[in-house]
Amino acid sequence: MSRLHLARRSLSHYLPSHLGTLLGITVAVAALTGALLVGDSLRASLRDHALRRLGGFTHALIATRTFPDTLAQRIQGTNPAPLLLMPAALANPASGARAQNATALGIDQRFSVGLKPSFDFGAIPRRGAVLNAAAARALGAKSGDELLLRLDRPSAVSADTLMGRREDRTLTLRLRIHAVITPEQRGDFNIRPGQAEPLNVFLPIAELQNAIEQPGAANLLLFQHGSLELLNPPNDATAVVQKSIAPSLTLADFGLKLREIEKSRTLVLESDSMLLAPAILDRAAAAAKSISAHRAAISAYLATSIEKLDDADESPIASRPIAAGAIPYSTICAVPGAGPPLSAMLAESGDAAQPLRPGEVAINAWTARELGAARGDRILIRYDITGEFGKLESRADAFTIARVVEMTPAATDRTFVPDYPGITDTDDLADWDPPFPLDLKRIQPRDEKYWDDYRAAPKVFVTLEDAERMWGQNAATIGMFTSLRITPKSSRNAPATDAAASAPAAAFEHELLRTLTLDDGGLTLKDLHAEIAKAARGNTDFGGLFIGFSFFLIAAAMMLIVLLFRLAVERRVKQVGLLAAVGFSPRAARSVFFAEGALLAAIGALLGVAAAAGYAWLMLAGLRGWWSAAAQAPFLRLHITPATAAIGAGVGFALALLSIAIALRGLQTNSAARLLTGGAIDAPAIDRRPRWPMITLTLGLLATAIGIVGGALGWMPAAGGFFLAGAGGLAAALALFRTSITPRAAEPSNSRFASSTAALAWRNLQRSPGRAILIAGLIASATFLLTALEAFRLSPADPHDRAGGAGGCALVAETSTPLAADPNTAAGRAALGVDDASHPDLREVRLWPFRLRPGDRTSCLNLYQPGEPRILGAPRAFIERGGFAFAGVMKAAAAASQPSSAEDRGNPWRLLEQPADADGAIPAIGDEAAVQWQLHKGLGQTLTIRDENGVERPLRFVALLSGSVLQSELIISEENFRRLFPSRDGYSVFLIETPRGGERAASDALERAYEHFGLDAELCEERLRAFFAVQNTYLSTFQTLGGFGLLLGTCGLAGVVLRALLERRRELALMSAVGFSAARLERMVLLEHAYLAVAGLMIGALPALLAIGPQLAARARGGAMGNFTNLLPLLGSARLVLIVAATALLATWLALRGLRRMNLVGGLRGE
Amino acid sequence: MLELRAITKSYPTAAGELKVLSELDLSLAPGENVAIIGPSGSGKTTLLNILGLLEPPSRGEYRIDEANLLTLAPADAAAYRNRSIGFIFQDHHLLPQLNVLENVLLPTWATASPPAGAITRANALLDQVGLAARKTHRPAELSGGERQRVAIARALINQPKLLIADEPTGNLDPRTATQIADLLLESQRAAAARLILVTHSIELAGRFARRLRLQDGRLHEVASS
Repeated sequence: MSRLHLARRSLSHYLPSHLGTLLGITVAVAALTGALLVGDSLRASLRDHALRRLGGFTHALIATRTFPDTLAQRIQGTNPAPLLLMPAALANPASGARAQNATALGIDQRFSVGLKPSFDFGAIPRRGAVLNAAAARALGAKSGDELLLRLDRPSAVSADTLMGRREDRTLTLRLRIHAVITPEQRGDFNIRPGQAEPLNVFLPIAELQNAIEQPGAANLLLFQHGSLELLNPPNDATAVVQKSIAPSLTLADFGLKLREIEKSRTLVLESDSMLLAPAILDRAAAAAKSISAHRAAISAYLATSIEKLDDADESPIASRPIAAGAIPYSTICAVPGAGPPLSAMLAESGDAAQPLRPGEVAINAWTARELGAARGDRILIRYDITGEFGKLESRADAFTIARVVEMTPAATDRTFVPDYPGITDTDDLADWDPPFPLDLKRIQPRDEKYWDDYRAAPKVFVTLEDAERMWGQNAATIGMFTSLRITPKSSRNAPATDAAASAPAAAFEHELLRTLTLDDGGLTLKDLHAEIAKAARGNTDFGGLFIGFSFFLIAAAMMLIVLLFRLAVERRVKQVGLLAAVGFSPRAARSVFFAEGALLAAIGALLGVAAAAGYAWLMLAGLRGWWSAAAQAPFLRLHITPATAAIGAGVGFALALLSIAIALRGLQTNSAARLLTGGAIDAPAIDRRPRWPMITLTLGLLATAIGIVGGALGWMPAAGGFFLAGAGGLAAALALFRTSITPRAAEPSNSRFASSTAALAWRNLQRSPGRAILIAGLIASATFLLTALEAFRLSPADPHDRAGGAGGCALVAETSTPLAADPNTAAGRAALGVDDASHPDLREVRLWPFRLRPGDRTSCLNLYQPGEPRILGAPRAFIERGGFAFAGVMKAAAAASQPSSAEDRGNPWRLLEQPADADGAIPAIGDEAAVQWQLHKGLGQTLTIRDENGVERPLRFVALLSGSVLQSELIISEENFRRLFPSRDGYSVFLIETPRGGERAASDALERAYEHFGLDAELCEERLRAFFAVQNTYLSTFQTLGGFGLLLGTCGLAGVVLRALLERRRELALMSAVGFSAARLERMVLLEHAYLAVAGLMIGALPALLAIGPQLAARARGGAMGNFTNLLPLLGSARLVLIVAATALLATWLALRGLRRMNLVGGLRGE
Repeated sequence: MLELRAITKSYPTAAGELKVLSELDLSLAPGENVAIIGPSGSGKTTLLNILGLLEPPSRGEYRIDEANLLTLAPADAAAYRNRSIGFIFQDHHLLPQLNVLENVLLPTWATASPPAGAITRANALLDQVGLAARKTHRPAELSGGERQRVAIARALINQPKLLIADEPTGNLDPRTATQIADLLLESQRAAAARLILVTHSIELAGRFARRLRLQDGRLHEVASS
């Protein structure tokens, strides 16, 4: 306690001389704690921002397709709000202003529940719409104005299938703006966290349903916490919602319908999308099995022609013209080769039809008659399949007629073919409105007669094996089977329960619903608050980032603490000697000063915490203003977390103690006798050379060599190599400097140089090598960091360079409605409603299309943690084209079991088409910055995503793009995309090659031509500039805070120099008395500190240039990050180095001013 | 018995080794006092530093009551110094941040737990040196003589076996110097401690029972006048 008493007394007595140290401690704690508070504030602001956009809703049932909005009423007690959300494009017809990437929200009065301030969404009039403020601003529109709303016309049937519609997919609604609402009125409603203001247009759900011809459809249910509490106090609200949903679901909610054929009591399960998804088919088969029913999956398809094959004709069947008498446009049906339904059909012999083998077909008697064919004859079936962009490809296959079945109800059952509006509901065959070309001339009266008698009943039955070969290309993804026929047990005399026997449909439905999961129906229940909490953690630890940015400031503050506390101790060096004389051990003496420093650190920590709030506020203001390019989040607000403040204060206190401990190191090395005489703590003994500089020099040079070689050869990341080489070089140079200022016993004393001002200055510098190292180190560190970091600024390279960040594409575009036809062909453009004559410019552009699964953007512009990243599906044509710069490519052996060829190594995109690894990982490519910093993954690592059925799918990063325009998304092959997201048809994202200089014209032409698809084009150069602005802004932030550090360092430097001169007052007075002129004394002092400044500049600049050498060489060669012109930022580095030099000179000038004001005579009296 | 045997002390300089003490011997019985005189630079202060374990000799032997003090580790030497040696310097070396009583108590704070009765003893010593009324004053509020009295009290607080005084009256006027010398000798006798004093003052040296001259690195007895 007595030592603490002594420390307290000492602090109280010497507090004025500790003010500089206190400033250093306060700054260190403020910078550290402030940085942590920035991180907290960012997370809290992101969370609050996303929660505000939810408008009080807590859970959401989200569907990848539509479901009946009556589900909202069926869910007991929770009263959710049904919504129909659709991507949209907006236009103001008066001004021509457009807003792409908007969202149309079909809502009713239930969306108003719990809203304060209230707004009655149920009161939106017919043909009326409500805009949020952002959309109104984008359109320059106000209440009462007209609005054009362009929408996709969604279809349950995939555009990738024969029956999917590829034309006339968009519609436009002309609406009148009823009101413009604020964010507080749920105007900015968005369940996906994001910084950008959503562009929302609200209209009555019924109106939107009617517009897209899907009455009663919804794709989102929103729940509120308040309504959940009515059920039970929810410990796990998500479980409560899930429990309430499960019993309310019907087959319709899964897009399924069950038909019962009265006569045969056969049940037929079909899908709205015409194809039963493989997962649903499996569950339905299992449900049928559980009620002991027979089940048969069948697949109906359309043949463009059925004709008898003339075996005498030896020409290839594919090239033969359609034979006279061929039957056009007929349904054919794949059935199991044995068992129902084939076994129920009667053959011409009157027996049940015998099993079919692949290559064989059963035809109905009508077809046999019309073709003049009999058992054993061969027929040719012509049919179309769909390729890229739904292009039709004609095929033909020959079969042997194994059976001819009678036209019994079992064979002419219309339920073999699912309902398809425009076909199965037409009175005449000639009235068909299929999504493919129809040659009406081929339709004969006999065909119409068949249609009248049997409608779409199949004319031919093939085996499932043949069907899979013929039209089953998508069997594993979107499926191949159009129905599952369930034959109940009673009709097969199997033992069964009463319920299954008496009401098989109900029993099957019950069993199926029991086993179906939400995922099977493309439904996902989300705990929105939990998702926001996760996303708001952010992909970047801004606390850590700002600690990094503040590193130099903290380091400068610590240096200041060391310098000034050391000076304070040096000033009281006799006290140290006295303590030793009266029996204080070195450790005990040190503990007294350490306790004094600790008390000072505690005061500084308290002041620092208070200042931290101001520091954090300033940083947040910076992120909202000067550095907005890095965050793009004007909603950032200061949030002070006591725990964080305590942690910051604690760590800052510890750093201050560490600095003080460093400052006190010298106390244990000197004898008490020396200290009693007032000798300097670290005055070096003659010929006593410390060993640490040589050790540091050796290790530093080794680290530099490893960093340079490792970075160049790719053993380590470039940034890692840079820092290792730079830090090693800096340490080595400082060690060399330390060695050079060690006094030597054998120096000549009689030369002219020995008595020169320069030599005197040099010898003065040698008196306190520790201080000299600290000052030179401060300047060197500033120079090193400012020089090196300036060289890391990025600027976009030539977008037309195929090996650049834009891959040779000057534009990137996205449509709100996917394009289902090829925009690169005249036919495709015509199908998309684009007239080549009106848009001649479009012939000169080449669009590279990608499929899109919308999701969270992974670019550095998104502060939220990406939950489900945006995924692009790259078609084979793009993969073959290649291009872009790569930061890393996986070695073939690790990427897949099959070694890649040299060709693959030349085009890493080909790795996307390699088969999945043994662990099922799908090859993916992402931008290095996004993968590393946003997803926290690396080359060869996997990221697990969910496919649209909720199944977890690992993606393996087989290659990483460098500085690319594709930073917001991950890319997989189109083939894998279709397996993961089968319902995502068409192409929504486009990389676009344009003539050089014609980029803007092409952009305008594309936006005009594809306006009804909501196409929004952007110059790749601008997008890259926006991405690079983040890193560049981070550099600016670092440099700004480094500048603060430099300022602090300058204050410290000036203080140290002045204090050193004050200590040497007597000495200077004596020199003056013996005839040294004032000018010479000033020159001596100036030179002494100029040595340190020059040494610091050289020590800092040389390792920096050495370390960034490989980077500079790469830039000079060009590439994704830039070309030779990108070396220009080094001029900025030179400017910063000059600022550092000027700062050092300023400190010396301040010292000289102090020297001039000194009363040297008074100093002499002291002597 | 205090014994120095063949003590040599030299320093490295740019011009070579500088020998300050050379084969120096000294014996001192308990309760004995001795004054050492000698010209400036003769090594008087160096000798006192060696005696006070503030600085080791280059060679030689130093024992007190048969204990070899030069083999002590630095921490043990500090503890020995704290228990058994009291210093009085020409510059009083009082800590300006402490008051008079606290300055006297300072040596007792060198150990983790100060000895019991330290404050009582400090008060008694202040009474003995005539500063009982000034114990709450800061050094800046005292005269030069008073500061040196405080320094003497501080040197005596741990009842040392050896008192070392390095020109304790060097900065004082003659009258005050006499008073301080009286107090020092009186205190030494009362404590039965050895006292070794270095001075330039022949008059002050004359008051000591034994006088030694340090010359050419060795001690020479000075006959009584």
